[in-house]
Amino acid sequence: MMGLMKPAKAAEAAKRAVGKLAETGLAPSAKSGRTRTLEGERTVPSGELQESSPPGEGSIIVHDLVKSYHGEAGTVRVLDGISFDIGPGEKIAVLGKNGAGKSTLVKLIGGVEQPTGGFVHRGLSMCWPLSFGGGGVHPGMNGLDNIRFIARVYNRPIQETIDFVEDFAELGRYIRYPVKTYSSGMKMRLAFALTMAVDFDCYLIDEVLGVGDQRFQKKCRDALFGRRGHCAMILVSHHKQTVLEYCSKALVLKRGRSRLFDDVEFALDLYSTL
Amino acid sequence: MTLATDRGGRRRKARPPLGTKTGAFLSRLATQWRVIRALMIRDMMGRYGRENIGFLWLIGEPALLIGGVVFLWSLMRGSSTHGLSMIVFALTGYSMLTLWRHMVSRGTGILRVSGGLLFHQDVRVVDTVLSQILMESITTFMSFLFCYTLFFLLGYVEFVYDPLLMVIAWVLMTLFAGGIAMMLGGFCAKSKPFERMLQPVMYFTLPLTGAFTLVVWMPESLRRVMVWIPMIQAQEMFRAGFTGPSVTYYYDPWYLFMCGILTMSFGLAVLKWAESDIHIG
Repeated sequence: MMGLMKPAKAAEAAKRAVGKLAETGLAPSAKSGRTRTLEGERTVPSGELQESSPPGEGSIIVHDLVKSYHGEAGTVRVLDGISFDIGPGEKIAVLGKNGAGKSTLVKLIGGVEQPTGGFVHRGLSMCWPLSFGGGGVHPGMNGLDNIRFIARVYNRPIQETIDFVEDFAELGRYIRYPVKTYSSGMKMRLAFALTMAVDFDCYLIDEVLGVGDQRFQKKCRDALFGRRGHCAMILVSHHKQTVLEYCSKALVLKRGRSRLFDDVEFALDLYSTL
Repeated sequence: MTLATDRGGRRRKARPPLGTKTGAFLSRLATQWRVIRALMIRDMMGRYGRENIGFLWLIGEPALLIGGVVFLWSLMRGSSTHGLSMIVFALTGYSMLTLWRHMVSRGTGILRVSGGLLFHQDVRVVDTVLSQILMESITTFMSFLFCYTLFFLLGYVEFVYDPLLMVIAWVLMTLFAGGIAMMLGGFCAKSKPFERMLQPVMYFTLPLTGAFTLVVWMPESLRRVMVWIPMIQAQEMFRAGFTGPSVTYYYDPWYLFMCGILTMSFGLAVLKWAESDIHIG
């Protein structure tokens, strides 16, 4: 059955991706010389579509995502049919109360857990989520070894990465000590610097911008919204000001259901009444 | 019922230079090897850190065990058994046994380690599993080599008869045991009771590794059963490479290879099946 489902879904993803490209003006619109027989018809040069941009390239597509967990009190459906797209450079806020499924959504988008139904297509290079845990640094290794690991996995020059992270994280000689001896603020500095050392197209930020001291917070914001301002972002946050300032869309989650709003202010109001 | 599109795993700039399918396949293979290598180094550094001899403990730990057992067996059973030097018998037997034991014990938790690693788009579950299996195999072999070199320098053992045969036996055993480890890991992730039962069951497989006896010492009726067990075959092959034809050994590399391929493919399938049940935090 799985085999049969896939082509249909892939086709749908492709359709949506093509729509996306047309919206953002990346795909050439219908040739002017030809009369349109169907309403809303678009002509996309066939060669270009197949060769240069495979379907969904350049955007993240979440389609009808369902995730349920089995527990002692029966099956819990944490996410129940979530769909949205993120184009290049788009910043989207995810709002919801505790237990609304935000972190589960992050895990599914990050590809750590497999959805029960639906799919996630990642057409952008995705960052691991910046979250309180420190984002996948190994506690037993020292800072330098963690940097080397990331450099190897993402195929970056090792020395350059080390120089960058040492400079950005400002951990001084602590970078040679095991990460398990770090304070949570130090862990966060390291994790954040690591994500900045690799160019990603999309960042997943899980409630983290409030961590660290004032100066480092500012540095993070500058890096994230300044130098990396062109990147797409999924921002899970309770912080109203941040969401208003940076996000162009908001996804409100409630009991596993979602709604996408283009009006962020309205979404925030709605969220406060939940 | 999921569709995990692979394209997202690639970095956009690192697209294969060749537009062909082979090019894409090769570049993915290169990525996978890069990731497995990084994971192996991470495993090595993460477990033992950089204190005192650091990651050399990976070799040191099993080497101590193997060395200790060789010493104990020599004390208990005398210097030779059935015309085979006790040191050779224990060294080969216990190295293989250690490989099997490590594979199995790693196997039960093989899906648990992956946790936050999977957030890196290039890292797949199978990468984390393969890196652990490779790591276990290589370090145990290094421990064997370490012990062997020590005994050789002290003059207790001869130079090995056929090193290549030993290495092949080791690789085939890794293939077989790695497949078993994957299966165990998958089943353990799926079912808790299975995990609980595994400890005692696996303890009883230890005699089946062939570490404590040779097939040729056994009566004919038992022999016919024993040659069907892949672990015993690998053990015999390993010993055959060590001592040469002075002792009769029963093994068939092709049978062993087929067993390895079979468990590996079944293990991969189980892994894929259990992947949907991975739950982090």
